Amino acid sequence: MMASAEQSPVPLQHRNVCSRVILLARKIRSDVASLLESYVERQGLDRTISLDSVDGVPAAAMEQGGELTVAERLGANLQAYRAFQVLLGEVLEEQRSHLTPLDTDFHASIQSVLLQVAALAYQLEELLALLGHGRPVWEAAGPEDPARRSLFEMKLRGLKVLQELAHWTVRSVRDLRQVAKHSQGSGTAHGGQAQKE
Amino acid sequence: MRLTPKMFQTLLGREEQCKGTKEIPGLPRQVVWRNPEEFDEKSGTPLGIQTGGKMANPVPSACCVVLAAVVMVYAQRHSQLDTHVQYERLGADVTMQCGPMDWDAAVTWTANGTDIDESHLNGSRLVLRNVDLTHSGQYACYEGSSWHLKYQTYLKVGTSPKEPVLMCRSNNYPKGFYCSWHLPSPTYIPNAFNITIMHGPRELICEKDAFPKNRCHIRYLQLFSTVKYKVTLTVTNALGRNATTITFDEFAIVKPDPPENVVAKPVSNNPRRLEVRWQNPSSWPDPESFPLKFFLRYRPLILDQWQHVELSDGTSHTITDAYAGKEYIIQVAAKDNDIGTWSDWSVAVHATPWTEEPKHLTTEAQVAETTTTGTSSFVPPPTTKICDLEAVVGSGAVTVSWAEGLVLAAVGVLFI
Repeated sequence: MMASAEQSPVPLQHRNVCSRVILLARKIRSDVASLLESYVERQGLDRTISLDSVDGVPAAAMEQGGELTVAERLGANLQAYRAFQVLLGEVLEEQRSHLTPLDTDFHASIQSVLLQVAALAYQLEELLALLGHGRPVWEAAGPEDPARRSLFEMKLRGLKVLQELAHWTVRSVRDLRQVAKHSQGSGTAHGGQAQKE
Repeated sequence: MRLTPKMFQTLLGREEQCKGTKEIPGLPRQVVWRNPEEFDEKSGTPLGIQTGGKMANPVPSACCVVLAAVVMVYAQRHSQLDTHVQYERLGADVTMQCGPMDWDAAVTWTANGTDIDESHLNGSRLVLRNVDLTHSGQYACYEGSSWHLKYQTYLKVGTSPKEPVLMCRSNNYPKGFYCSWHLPSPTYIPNAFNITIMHGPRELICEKDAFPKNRCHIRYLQLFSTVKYKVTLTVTNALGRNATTITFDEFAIVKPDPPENVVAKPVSNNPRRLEVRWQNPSSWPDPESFPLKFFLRYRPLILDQWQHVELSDGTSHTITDAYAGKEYIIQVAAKDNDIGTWSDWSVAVHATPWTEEPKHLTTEAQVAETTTTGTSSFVPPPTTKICDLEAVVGSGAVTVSWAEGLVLAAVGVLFI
């Protein structure tokens, strides 16, 4: 009895997790926006430079009108942030080793974003589990030989990573709102316990 | 085609009488009528119109009517010459050639039906120097003696287009965005606009709005894309062309319309509060997925300094620090929570905080008034002295008069 009185209704729990993920995504967006300003300044790049040649960064773009299921939405977000964890690690390493070896403050900024991305990925995994969906299998691509990449290519790649990450956070906020709305409407979770009052 | 005065005179043939058919070079055999302004010396009436006395010969009159009709038809036939439209730049020197006429042919030029002075002619060519907007109009050239229309053109003076001003904005994200444009200065001649929208390799369709004409809208095919949009607007007219290109990120152009139905009301029994309510702009299609935040500003009319409040959710706010009794002006702006820029300020609303109704003053005199029978509120007559205690009733001055009286009585007693 005591346990049921203290237990949050399942949909409310979903919405709470969604809200936390939304807050974290918005925090990341804010930090990435600042980081982007520092990045272009330190790398001597123009924000408008074409990044079409850069591959291997998950694109936030999605076709308008295509409706995704909750599992698809969350799965796509999770996959993206897992990839960004790896990519940010590579960007950080390239900055430390090649591009800005003495700029420890800059490295700390990248590290901070990386940690937040890792936290966000974890939250998404938890949310998927809470909603009764399985976690998508993650197969990290083999690390590209950094020696194959020129310094300029490293700079462009880092910029692309940050730009796509910024756009992913906006998409995630929208996706999480859709998930929360769906959760509110469904009443009970998929495979979850019935609400107890 | 208008018949100029000269043509009219020539057709009439002043010296000729309307005696029947008369052959005029270049025109079919026809009757010529006399200028009605000419007077018959005998009768004193216009030759074409004779009243009383000797009757006008009906046969020549009929001929005149027929002639007029034929002349008009002929003139119309000739006026079906192709009318050219000629565009020339402001300040240019313009030379018009009279169709196939030789350089040394005798011609008459007209502008909007008015003869042009021969000083503007170079042989049979019309020369207009340093043209300005007043030179725009219809120009026609007639052969000297026959008044055949040889050439006509419509001259339009203008300029080539300057670089157009182009802007794009999404006030209905995530549905789409619109682009609108205008020229920084008029060209005075017709312009054609062409817009192309590229999103990476993909060209998007920009659907023209019925109103205003210089706007078109685009549906988003993708969302959250980092690929920039590139919009190019080309403006072309007969004197030249110009173009402008803008490039932007999907998020950068997001700007909602201002909040709607802003209402501000006083709060009962709260002299420092104002309750403000508003609604999302109706053009914002999905406030659940893309909620708006708001910025409210307010100030009393008597001050210039605004106070600001940013509100992350909800469409209402209570101002709690209003100056009592002062009229306020209040506005609200909106922005997507995460992307884009603030809207313009909403329409301003005015409100004044609640104020207490003024209470009726309660004094001893008023109490006395209510207990004394037969008396009512009494206004002492001008001759009545304030210190006349018997006359002043129901007035606050009574208290002072009684005090004065007591003092005087006490002083009097002392002196006695």
